Amino acid sequence: MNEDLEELLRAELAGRADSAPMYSGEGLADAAITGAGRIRRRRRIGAAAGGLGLVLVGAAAAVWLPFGDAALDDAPPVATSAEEAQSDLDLEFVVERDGAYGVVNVEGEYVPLAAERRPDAVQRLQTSYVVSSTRQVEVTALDGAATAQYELPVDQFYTTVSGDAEAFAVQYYEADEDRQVYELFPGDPQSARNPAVLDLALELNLEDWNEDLLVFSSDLVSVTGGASVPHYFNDQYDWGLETAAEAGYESVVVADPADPGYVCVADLDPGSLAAPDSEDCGYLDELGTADVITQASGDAAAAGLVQDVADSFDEEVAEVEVDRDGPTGAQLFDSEYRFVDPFGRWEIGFSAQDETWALLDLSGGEAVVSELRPPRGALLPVVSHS
Amino acid sequence: MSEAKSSQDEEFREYVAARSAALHRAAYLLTGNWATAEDLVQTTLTKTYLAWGRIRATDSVDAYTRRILYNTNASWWRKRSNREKPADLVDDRPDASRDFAEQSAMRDAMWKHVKDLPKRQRAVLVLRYYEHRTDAQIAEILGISTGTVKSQASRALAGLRKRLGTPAAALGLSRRSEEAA
Repeated sequence: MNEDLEELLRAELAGRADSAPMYSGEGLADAAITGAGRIRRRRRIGAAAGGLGLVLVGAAAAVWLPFGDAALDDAPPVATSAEEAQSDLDLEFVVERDGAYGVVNVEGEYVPLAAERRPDAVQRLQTSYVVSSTRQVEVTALDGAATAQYELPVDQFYTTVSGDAEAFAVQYYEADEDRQVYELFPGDPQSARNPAVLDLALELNLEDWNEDLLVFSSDLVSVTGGASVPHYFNDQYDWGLETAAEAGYESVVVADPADPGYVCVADLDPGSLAAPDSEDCGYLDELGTADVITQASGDAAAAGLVQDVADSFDEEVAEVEVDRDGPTGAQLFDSEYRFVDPFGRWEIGFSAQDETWALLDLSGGEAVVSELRPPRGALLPVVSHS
Repeated sequence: MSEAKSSQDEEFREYVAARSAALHRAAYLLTGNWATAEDLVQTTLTKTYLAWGRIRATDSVDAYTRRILYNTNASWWRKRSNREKPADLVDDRPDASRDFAEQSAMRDAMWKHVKDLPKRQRAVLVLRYYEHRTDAQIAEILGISTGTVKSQASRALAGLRKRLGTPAAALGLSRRSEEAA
């Protein structure tokens, strides 16, 4: 009976498959290429042919300016005052005055920073300014009343801000070990404490976190094929998730930007140096995945945090073409420094000796490039995450 | 577009042209519906293209694509299956004799049973009895152990045996008799 049944099954499946309607497959590959392109699209700056700079901006600032639009091709650069930028774009400026550093906020008030070294970047969180300079990161309350300073073992590092803008992390490369280190700090200077330190493989990128959960991005699907089964990334690729356990985190979720929604969840033993046995992988829209994240994190908000990160990978973007042959357009693209508003309202480019900055204003119905006259002693704009 | 990118895309188009019909057939057996099989294949090819730069020069392009197809069906499909039920095909084969009619009814019953199977069991059956893969290959594609492949196949076949134990059972007569009683 068994062989008969198997034979019948073979015949039935072959017969059903052979009853396929004629299918040309025309356009299938191109549709796949286009679909993959949509997935890959991320905010980035690129140079396009014909002297045009192509700016891709997030959906929040979706603007389409067709090639050859007179507003950008021919019009002379518009001037924007510091006051206009402050009121229209909520722009704040880092300034150096009388040998000290401070922030000129949107009200035009001067907030002193405790930074001893020239700031390379200043980011605004919910309650503070985070000032990055050589081997040091300093946190100053928005009113300047409290500060905290942290020394770092390297000259150069990158700063990442959590999605709720309540915390930040610095990331640097350990050349001897070919590893990366993340140090995670509270955004409130009054909560200053020793940072949580993570020693991780280079392929992990910190995307967001809270007290219990760390969310990273990495390539997963090329290893798992999208399977919803346990995998052993930490064991096989030496990810270093045991350092997250040691730092007190309940769980780590890694999301794949190439396949938004696919995640691997590591349930940690906080406070120990124990590596997770394996990671549970699957799609967020599968039954049970959110529960796995919630249970591993012990945090009802954890699944939402992971979903937000996955959604950010799928963010729609719009294209804005900017004439880069004009003086302001060239300054925007070719300058020494370039700053981009995380909310997509503006981009600024300038070099050290420039008296005016190039401002791309994306806040209105059209994209406008103008010369921005920064306030006296201005060093750079504050990048606000709040 | 760079020359390398263009050539890469052309290779991908050639691969799709050569393999899309087979992928559609497997997708149909997995989903039981041609329209949704097309969606599944399109999603699979999109994911394959995302990895094309890495896999195009290897011998495992087809294995990779199969793995994506089966695993996408197992996960992504779960969400859709709640709102979209496969449509039954109209069997237009001629009813030339009673034997043929009985055999046809049995095969219809078998197909209905296969469509009702849990996704993993169904995938194991399709890989084993349509694609003629070994249990080790099936385990590799589905990312499960060979023991699980065997147990899933065994469970699926046991269900089939129960359902198709006799021609009457295949025709659903026993159930009707029980219901009538």
